[in-house]
Amino acid sequence: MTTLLDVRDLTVHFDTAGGRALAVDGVSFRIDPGETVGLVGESGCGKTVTALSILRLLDGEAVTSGASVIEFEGINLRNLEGEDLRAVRGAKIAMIFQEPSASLNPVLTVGLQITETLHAHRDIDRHAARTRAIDLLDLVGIPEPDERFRAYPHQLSGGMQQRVMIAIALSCEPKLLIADEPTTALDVTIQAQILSLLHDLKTELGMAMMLITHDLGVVAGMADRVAVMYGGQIVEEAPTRQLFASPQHPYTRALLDAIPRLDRVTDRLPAIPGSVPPATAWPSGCRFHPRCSKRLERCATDAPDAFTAGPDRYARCWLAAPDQAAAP
Amino acid sequence: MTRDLITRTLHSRRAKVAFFVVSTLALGALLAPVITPHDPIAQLDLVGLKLAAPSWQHWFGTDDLSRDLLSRIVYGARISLAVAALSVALSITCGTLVGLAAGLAGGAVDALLMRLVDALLAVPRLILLVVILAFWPQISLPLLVLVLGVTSWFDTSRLVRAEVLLVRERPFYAAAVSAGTSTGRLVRNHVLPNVAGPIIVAATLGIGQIILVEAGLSFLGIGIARPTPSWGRMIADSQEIMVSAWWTAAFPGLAIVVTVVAFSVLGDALRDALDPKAS
Amino acid sequence: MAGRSSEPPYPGRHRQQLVARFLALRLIHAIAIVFLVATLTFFLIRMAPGDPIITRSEALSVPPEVRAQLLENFGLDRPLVEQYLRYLGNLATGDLGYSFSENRPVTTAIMERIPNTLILAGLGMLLAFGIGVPVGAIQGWRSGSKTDNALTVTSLVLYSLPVFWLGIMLQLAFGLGLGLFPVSGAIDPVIHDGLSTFGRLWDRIRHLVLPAATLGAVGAGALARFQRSATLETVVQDFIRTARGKGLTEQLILFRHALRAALLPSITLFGLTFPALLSGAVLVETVFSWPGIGRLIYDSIAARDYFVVTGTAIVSAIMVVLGNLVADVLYWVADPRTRPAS
Repeated sequence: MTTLLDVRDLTVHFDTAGGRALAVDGVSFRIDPGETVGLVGESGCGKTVTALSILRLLDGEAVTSGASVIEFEGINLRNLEGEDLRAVRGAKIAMIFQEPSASLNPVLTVGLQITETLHAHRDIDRHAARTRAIDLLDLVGIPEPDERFRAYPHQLSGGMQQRVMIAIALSCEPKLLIADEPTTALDVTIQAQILSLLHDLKTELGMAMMLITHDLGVVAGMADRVAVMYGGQIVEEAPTRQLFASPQHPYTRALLDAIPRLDRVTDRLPAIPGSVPPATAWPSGCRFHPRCSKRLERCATDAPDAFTAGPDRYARCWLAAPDQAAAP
Repeated sequence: MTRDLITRTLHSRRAKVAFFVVSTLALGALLAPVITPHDPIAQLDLVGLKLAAPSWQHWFGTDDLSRDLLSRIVYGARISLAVAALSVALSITCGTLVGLAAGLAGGAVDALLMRLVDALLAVPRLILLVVILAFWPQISLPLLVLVLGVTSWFDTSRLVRAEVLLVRERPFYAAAVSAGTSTGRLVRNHVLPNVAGPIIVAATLGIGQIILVEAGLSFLGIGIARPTPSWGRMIADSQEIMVSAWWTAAFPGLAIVVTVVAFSVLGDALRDALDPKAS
Repeated sequence: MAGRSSEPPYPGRHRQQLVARFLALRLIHAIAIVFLVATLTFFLIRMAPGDPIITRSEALSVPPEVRAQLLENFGLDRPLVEQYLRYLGNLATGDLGYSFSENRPVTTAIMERIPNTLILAGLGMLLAFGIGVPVGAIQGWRSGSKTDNALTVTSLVLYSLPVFWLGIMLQLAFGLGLGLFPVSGAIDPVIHDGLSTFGRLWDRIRHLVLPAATLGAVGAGALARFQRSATLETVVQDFIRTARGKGLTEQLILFRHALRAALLPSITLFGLTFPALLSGAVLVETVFSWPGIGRLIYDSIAARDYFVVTGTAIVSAIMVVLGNLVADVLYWVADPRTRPAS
């Protein structure tokens, strides 16, 4: 099975007033057809920048290093320009964002925002586009879709707006859907609905998905594999079940420990001490070491490599190095 | 923080030039009696120097009463800058007070004040000023400052009122009030700091605008009384003679343009420096 | 952050009712404003010390009996409250008083001149919006480029010009200097009546050029500045990123997405620009001897024609209020979020 998306050595920096901010540093991962890969991390870890780099939607200030490779179906997206890039956006790879109310144009109808995507990529006439758009609205679970076609975004609730975004994203049957925090801005009950919708659609259409979130609970139910990001790097990657069952990286372990559970009695939830440092000043050695309860001496000076921790997993930690005792 | 603000404002070359211009103007206006080569209202030589073109003795030439134009323009700066600075100060004060009153009192007072503002805004500014000033026998500097100040506070009042309403909605406000915090303290600590920035920007830009308004009034004949030189009236007077003496119309106008541009650039630079989203 | 609950769009008739109610409310609001303006004008103009019928020039002196008679004729010797009530009463019937200098009702004097001012201000608006808005939008879309910088300087200078001075300079340069355009009046007083219909139209157009250009230039500068920042704010919005992510062409993103949203703020400016243009018209009409209400005000100041000044102020307020109403309707059409149905 050929890999759908192959990202290698993605490095992105911004030159700010406070110095050079290294937002993404040497990130590599793969997504196979039909897979769901979760990208998890706190704010400031670089996951959104990573997601935006794929379709090259970063604004002009971001500088992607020349060594970065983003291969989709074998073609390096970094080398595409103009029409070729546009042919990929929205048609082969689609993206949905965190704030649906801000991501939809307030002065255009919902229907138009779907049909224009169709017109951009397919040779289709107005009536067929309209019919397809209404079908899509129905598919994503919007009641009375032919009336909603003429509605404006502000006339819809947050959950409905996100469904519209999904409809837009799916309109040209992309092979890969990038979902950047799709449910963070929504109420908890709606979150579950949207996630369930995404799951069903994904299965139905055989689509691969890249799910970016800070919420481990979201990936638990949705992802086949999870990559955990910290400090602009992927610090651990593993199949979902294995990650939850036996995390190798202290950061992953700490994130999991911080989730409240009914079957555990504790006085306080263990919090990770300290806070995420600014991207202009990553610590030396392992970026997590100042906050790590398990740090060794070498962690402050030597940046760890990504060590294999199983047939399909790795962790960027000295504790996972072959010469260390097996992690508890 | 203020020093940081000043550094950021004067960051661009454009802003530095503007600041230089404004300072020079202000200094020039202050030191006018000392630096001007001639008395602005002295008619030097009605025979020989009437309508003289620009020359080394008279950089900007002379007008039809053989008065040195350069001196008149420098003195004109006094009027323009003084009127502008004072009336802007007055308008900020009025606007803040009205905005606070409307925002804090709410209800009928707010509605009434806002309707008043709407009504005053409905009359075009110059026409409103004409209504107030046209029939005064003599227009003195204080009167001009008062009238201009009292007709320019609307934007400030809207700004302050909006901020007050915003602050009132925050939960901490109810908590603070029930704890007995005085309104004065709440205003001072929470409303004023947030509006200070936009108000300063508006004030700087406002100085430029008021200079234009004052010039317009002088042009129409209802500015500062003669013989005090005023840029607007100098332009009005030049209309009959401008065909043969273009400098009588050009230089006063250029003085206005340069001054207003300088204040506008400064105002823009201030606004950019205060913008939290600036890179 | 949930939006409003989704409801079907209102059926046609209900919507019409809402629109009618909205317009009615605005009309009442407008009348209230005009009433307030009339009151303010009445009192403000009387704040000036001295007698309204003071002699027109210091040289003339009016014998006391004549003065008393004049005061009585115009009701200026009655108590203030009575004057005020009569004033309001007259206003309701459209009587704005009597013009001393023209010897006829103020209303007639004003109505005769309004079309000229409307043409001038209208053309000025057209130029200001027609040039300023596109220029500002281009600047915002291509911010930081050389074009943007050059245009920023240009609009800054235009915006800082005293409009009357610009008029005078244009007169000097194009009118008197190059002799391309006439510098005063709306028509050529000597030959106009003898011209053909087309000739008359052309004569009018030629006379319009310089004054309209003066008004338009300053307005264009102001609008370009405003539209530039409005466009800058729009292009960083999330929905532009969404549009790009959909694979739309840059052209489509600019025209359908960016501009539709970025132009909205300028529509609100419609309401603010109109009074500013009327103020500008006072000065421009004076410079170019344009026979509109601006020039009327100027002449009335010199002639100390009390009622004309008051009347013009009220009429201009009415024009502004009507203009605002039109602007509101325009804004409705443009921005679906402001429509009463939702």
